[in-house]
Amino acid sequence: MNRYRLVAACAALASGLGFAQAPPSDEVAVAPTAELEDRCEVPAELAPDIERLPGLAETLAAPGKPLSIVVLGSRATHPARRGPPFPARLQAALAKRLGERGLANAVNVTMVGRTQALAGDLAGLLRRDVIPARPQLVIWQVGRADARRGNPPSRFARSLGEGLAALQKAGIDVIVGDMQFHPQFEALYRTDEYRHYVKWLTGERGLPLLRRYEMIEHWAEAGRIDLDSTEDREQAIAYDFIQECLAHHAARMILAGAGLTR
Amino acid sequence: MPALPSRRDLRLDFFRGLALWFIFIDHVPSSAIGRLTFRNFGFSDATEIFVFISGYTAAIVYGRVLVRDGFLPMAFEVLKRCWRLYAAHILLLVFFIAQIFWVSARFGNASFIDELNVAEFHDNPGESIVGGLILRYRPVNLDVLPLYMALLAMFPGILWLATRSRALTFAASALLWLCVQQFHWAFPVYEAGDSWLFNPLAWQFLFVIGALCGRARNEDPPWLRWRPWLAWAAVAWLLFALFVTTSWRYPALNDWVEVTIGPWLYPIDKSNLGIARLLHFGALAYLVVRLVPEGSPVVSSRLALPVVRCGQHSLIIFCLGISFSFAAHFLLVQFGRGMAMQLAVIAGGIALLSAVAFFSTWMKTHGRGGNGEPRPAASH
Repeated sequence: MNRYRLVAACAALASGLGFAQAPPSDEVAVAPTAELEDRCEVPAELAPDIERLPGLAETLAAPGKPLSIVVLGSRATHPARRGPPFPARLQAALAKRLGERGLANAVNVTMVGRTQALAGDLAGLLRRDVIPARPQLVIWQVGRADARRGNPPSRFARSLGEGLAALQKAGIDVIVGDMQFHPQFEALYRTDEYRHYVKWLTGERGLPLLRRYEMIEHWAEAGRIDLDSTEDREQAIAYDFIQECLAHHAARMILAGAGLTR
Repeated sequence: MPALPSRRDLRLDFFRGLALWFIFIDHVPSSAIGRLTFRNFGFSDATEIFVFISGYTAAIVYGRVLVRDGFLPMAFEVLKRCWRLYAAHILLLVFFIAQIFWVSARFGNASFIDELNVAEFHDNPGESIVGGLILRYRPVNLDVLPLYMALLAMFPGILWLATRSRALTFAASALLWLCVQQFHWAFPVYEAGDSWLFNPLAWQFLFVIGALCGRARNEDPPWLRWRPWLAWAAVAWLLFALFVTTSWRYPALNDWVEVTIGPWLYPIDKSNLGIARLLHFGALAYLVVRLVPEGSPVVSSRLALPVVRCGQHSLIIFCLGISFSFAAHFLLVQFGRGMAMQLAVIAGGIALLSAVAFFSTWMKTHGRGGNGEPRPAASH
């Protein structure tokens, strides 16, 4: 736990720069793939096969070429209270899977973002910090800050669209993740309109969509996590489950995009 | 007591009451019953119903004041109404902030807690309060009231223009709406980025249409007449909307729709009253007005009475509906989300709303020395 606190402190320090290094992957334990497949199972339509991501495929085809992934999203302010954050989990999951396939590419997943960032802020960060760094893949995790701050969905969509256009123009592969689901948040701020726009934008541009909202909703309805519990422990368990399974699905999606399924 | 000439068109109250019931149900998250409300079967939702009927009744009520007393008294009445809306909005805001604190206290370890940004209230309570009071802070769920306030604030001008020339009023309103669609005109009041969730510059169009229909209600203008071909076009659009909305629930179908229909239909803009929503509501209203004539048993039967009464006291029912929806959500969280529980909680909420509405009517008929039907003007 101390190691995570130290990392969290560094992350908090570095957050002003908008960048944070994920902890090395050997610190994050990744469950066996078969076990994750079972535990994090979702209906087939929520995890469809995605089209090839050419930049990614090219990188993984070249032996030893480092794979650089940037996760763009609103940053959490209390990472110390929970397990490893999503970028660290994704890095570990990918490293493991690539290792299972005998691929030695080094994986580096970094997080770029600001707390309470609107889509427009993230699009700005994208142009300023992410695109010049030329990662092979950007995972844009749409947050709920727009819903909370009442940013009109159409403006949100415009910012998101501009960011996605910039990424496509720079030739960087992108996976979009929609908002996470939590019934307590939905009781206060509805995210329906924003999710519609995310679906339309990704459909219109033919971009892969990580359906975080529907996956979490499915796990909650299937009883695998309890999002209604007011107990700290249950909430922490639910949070870890969600992050672990989302990292699993993201890793699966990335490998599918590189043409490396099964 | 002066005899008021009109008989009250119960359809206005009925559909407004129905919209309020839908708003209540829609605000309870993750409810299976929430999948049966109006907005799941087409592009428009309760907001359109509300804005249109409000425009219609405002034209009737304030039109009378204008004729009887003149422009300034009418404007004053409108301002009084705005004030009541503002007070209701502030009350809802206080409730809402209390809900946020309640949720954040109980779900401190949940994934969304950072995004809730309760720290903002802790760190800047004064700023947050002032922001709420000057309508700078407008939570998503409550954004209908500020819209309504903005529309009413425009109303004296709209009504004055409508008494001069209906065509000009319609044209000006349509032009403004078109400019919003084309040039993304917004309504920033405070800082440059401050945009309203419901853009009053766009939604005024539906309000004005409602007002013009209200003024024309005793005539038979050619543009409101029943034309069978138009009716069939309306049916076609409604069926189309039903198809597209259903496709959102089936990913395979959704993908097909996105490729074939999506390019010209999407996005369907709620903030700026996109054409798809406007046409959908227009089609629905056109058919409903014909299929449910004024004295129809659908709206005048005893079964319809709770709905009608809720529609007659729309402001208090709206506020209570939003508050009850959170209470319903709390009960579902505490006691489980089984179907029986959901039905019980929602039915209970509706029963309570109806009870308050009946009580409000009783208070009106037994207060102020009135006997019999309550004065319609009071409950617009």
